Amino acid sequence: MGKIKVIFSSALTNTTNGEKEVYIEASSVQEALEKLVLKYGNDFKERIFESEKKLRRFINVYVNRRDIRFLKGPESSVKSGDEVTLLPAVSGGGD
Amino acid sequence: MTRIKALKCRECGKEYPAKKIYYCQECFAPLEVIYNYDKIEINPKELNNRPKNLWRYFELFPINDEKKIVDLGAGFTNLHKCDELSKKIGIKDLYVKNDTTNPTYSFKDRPASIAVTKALEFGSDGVGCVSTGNLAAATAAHAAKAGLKCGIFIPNNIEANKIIQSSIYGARLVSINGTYDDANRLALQASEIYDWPIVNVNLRPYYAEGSKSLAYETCEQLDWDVPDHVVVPTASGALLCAIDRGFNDFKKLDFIENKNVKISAAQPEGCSPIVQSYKAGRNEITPVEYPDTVAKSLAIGDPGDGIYALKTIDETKGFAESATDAEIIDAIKLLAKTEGIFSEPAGSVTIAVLKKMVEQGDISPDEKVVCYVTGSGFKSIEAIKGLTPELIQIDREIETLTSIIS
Repeated sequence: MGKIKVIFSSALTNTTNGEKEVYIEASSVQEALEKLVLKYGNDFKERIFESEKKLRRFINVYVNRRDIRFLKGPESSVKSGDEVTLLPAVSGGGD
Repeated sequence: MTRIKALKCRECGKEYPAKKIYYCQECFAPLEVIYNYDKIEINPKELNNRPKNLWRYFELFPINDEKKIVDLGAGFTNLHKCDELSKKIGIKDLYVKNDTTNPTYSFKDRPASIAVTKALEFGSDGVGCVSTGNLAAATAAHAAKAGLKCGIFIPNNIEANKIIQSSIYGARLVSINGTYDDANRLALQASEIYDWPIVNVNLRPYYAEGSKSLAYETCEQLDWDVPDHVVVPTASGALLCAIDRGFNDFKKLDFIENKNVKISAAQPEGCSPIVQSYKAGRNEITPVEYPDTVAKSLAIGDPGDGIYALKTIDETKGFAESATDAEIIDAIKLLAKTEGIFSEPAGSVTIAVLKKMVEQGDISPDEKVVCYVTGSGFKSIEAIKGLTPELIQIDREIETLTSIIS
């Protein structure tokens, strides 16, 4: 378990007491998110999770700028010094 | 009650005032513009008196102030009847919507024209985009015309001409060491920190509306008929969904008969997440981390509208198919040699995929088909390097020519 930095999209800051980033101890993304739910409460939980443990489809989570879908999803491990970023998934528009 | 009703969440349906927001504050899903159709006063007969560009459909775009329009003449491109190509492919009634002739040589002038106009309406003094190259040029040119500053995020592997073209309009380009999706993430973070209006990030609901004009024009140019089937080059899926909305707009307004138009997606094999999901029968998208294709305009591994594109394909009974780089290059040559249209790889992927779908029996020879060819070949010269034949070099005497001919 290590100290990681979590960065929030501005879409989430009204559920994080205005905090744009926070440092927490965790060994996986899932654990980090669970700790954030404990810290910020139900509003935060409902914004992030569609159901128990299932992340909303339109939230992307990155570990050190790599989408966790290319890692092990929420089970992806994190270590001290890692950066976890939560962003809306809807943007872009090339064709 | 106004013509532009609201922005509506595409998942939970929650409505928001039409401001500079792009995702639902409840569930993060994308927003789309909805209209009060009974407030849209547009008469198809009267369209003949309007300018031959996309702004002839002003009432169907999310713009309030006509005086703010930023117009370089995008749209109303030729609906090209493909007499020769149709024989080669085996479709009797085949058309190409030739968007290589737009002001910056791609269909992206359509959404850029709407989005830059919207940025002016919001009072912005600058505008930006994330781009694989075509949107970069389109946004930069429209920003120049509007007198707005322009900043652009691009991945580090796009074609030289697209960079040169965007720069000449005065835009500042930031090349990201990564993929389009990396550039996209960075642009999103920048838009949050600096509140920059980025056309395909926080202006996305408005931006996406511009591409509806491809469907409007198709109907008008077919004398208010509709095609049976359209083939759309697909990266994020935004274009495919916009074309569907365009046909639906005209149905709601009774401009065309209420007939289904099959909408099929064409993707390059090296970046085909929508095709992969379609073929596997999934309604979710598995993103591609490292796209690898000659069709760089379509190298978007995590398609923002992917799930909606899948839904549209399913609902309209279309298909999703991919083509290899070799098939795409062959299609560039075929389209050029049969119809005189020089397409970039992202445009000719529709021809390659159409050919495949006809061979597979997905499209019947009797269907009226429109392929959307969305960008000029001059933008992607790298793709066809090595294909040009050696020049015949001669001295300037007629005898030399004669000796060669004999």
